[in-house]
Amino acid sequence: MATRQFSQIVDDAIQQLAATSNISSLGRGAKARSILEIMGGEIASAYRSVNNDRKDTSPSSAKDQSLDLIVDLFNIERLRRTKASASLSDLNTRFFVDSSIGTFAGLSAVPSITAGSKIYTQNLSSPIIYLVTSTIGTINPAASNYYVAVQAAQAGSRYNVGRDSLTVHSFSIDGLQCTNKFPVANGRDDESNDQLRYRLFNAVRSLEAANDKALFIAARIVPGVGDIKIMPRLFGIGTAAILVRPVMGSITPPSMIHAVRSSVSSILPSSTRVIVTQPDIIGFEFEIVVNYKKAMTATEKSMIASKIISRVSRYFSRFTFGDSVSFGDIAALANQADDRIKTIGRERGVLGRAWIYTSETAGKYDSRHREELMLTPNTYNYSTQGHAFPILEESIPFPVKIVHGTEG
Amino acid sequence: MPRIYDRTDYFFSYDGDFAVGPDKDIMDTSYDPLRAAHQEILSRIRSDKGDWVYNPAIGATLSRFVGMPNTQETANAMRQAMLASLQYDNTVDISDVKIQIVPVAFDMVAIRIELAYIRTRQNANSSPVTLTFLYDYQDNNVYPIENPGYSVN
Repeated sequence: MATRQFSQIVDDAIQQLAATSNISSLGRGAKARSILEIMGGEIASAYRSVNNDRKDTSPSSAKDQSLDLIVDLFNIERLRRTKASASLSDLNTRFFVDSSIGTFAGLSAVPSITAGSKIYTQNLSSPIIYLVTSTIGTINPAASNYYVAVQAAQAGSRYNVGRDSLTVHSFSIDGLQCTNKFPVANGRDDESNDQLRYRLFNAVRSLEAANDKALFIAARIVPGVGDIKIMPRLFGIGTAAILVRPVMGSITPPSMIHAVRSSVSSILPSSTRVIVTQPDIIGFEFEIVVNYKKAMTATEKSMIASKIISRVSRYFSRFTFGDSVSFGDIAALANQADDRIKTIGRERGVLGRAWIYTSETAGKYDSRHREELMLTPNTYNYSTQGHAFPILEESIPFPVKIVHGTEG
Repeated sequence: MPRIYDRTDYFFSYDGDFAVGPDKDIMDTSYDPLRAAHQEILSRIRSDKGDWVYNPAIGATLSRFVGMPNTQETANAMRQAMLASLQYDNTVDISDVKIQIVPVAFDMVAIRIELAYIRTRQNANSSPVTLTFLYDYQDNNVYPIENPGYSVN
């Protein structure tokens, strides 16, 4: 939307008024012009407001808080200023005894170097202050130097220091010196709008590459992978899970998980978190209660049960892991298996029961770890998200159990 | 040689109101081609600089003469202020303007502004553009002495 300035709006309105009315006094201070100016001012203000809103919502022009809100949509946060620091393991900053004295035993007093002790740069007017963040316990008199961890007293890159800069300390002990062998330069300023915008654009470009298809290919090309399933947003916005099953066997080896993780990470933006894992294997069984229109013989019931099991088997044969089961579909399949079936379900509103086995021991499901589902019309769909389904073990010959209900 | 000041603006009363015309629309000053110039002169004399948000330079700012002695020097300064204001945006040609300032009391002057203009067929029946005010040095007010020819009821 092109912004129109106050003067443009008023000039246009003046021309319009002059052309369509007999008003001819339109100089500054004229009454007709005053009305146009007041309205023009309001319209120009609305233009500015709209334009500002547009700027605030466009990544290329948004700034500060507005830009923060935009990048937040991509799980990116503005990097905040940090204090420069060096850890103990960096072996960077140290207190040492002058070589003419030799060891701490030669000092006039034993320094108490604790967290909070200060060391400075040599600038007398405005030295850069660092705080010691580690504590030296008992000082060995035979030692000649001790490394310490330090952190700048204030955050920001201007408190970074070059090597051999932190040479002043607060101990009044002759011969005790301090220094830093390497620069302490990891202090950072708040990320600027331009820097943040650049990072956002990179992330978005990566996102274009990291769509589901690209993820699928990246995961699927890893040798040994039999099948994968992408579960978007499984852990919230900006997350996805990739479930990996091997070609051989039912257990995905950790090396395969690691290989898939490496493969997909090359195309992922920093803002997207993808968990690569193997599916949990669950056992699943359910019962179908069949009510008949008339009295049935045992043989007839057996034949009808076989028909139902056959149909349900075909239904499950199309399944892959991670799919959702519709119990409504299963009930409909069962109902259509034979004309002599009256209804499916134990009682009004309850289709049957199902059990989820959550624990497996030595290839067999443990009935002590199973959950029962009541299959009412309100619980038609049981999502097997995150689970392999159905992988049947020998202990459960078939997951469908036919229960004969009422007759007639 | 005076200019032609015939033009039309929305009508604006001395009290600062718009009016509805006989055609039920906002009344304009087409009934008198010189009324618009009259209104503009009146607005500027009664305004201070900054009063007009979008045209802050308009206004004679007579308020700055409050408390000043009622002398010839003050009157001259007021005249200059009014002429400068009227000249802004070429509203009038100051050579067409005649301002008389006459002390009428210890702390009050009468100001008479007369605009010379070319007679046209349209303004042949118009009232002359002559405005008379009283200015009180103590209470900072410009009191127009209304020209009966411009009263609108």
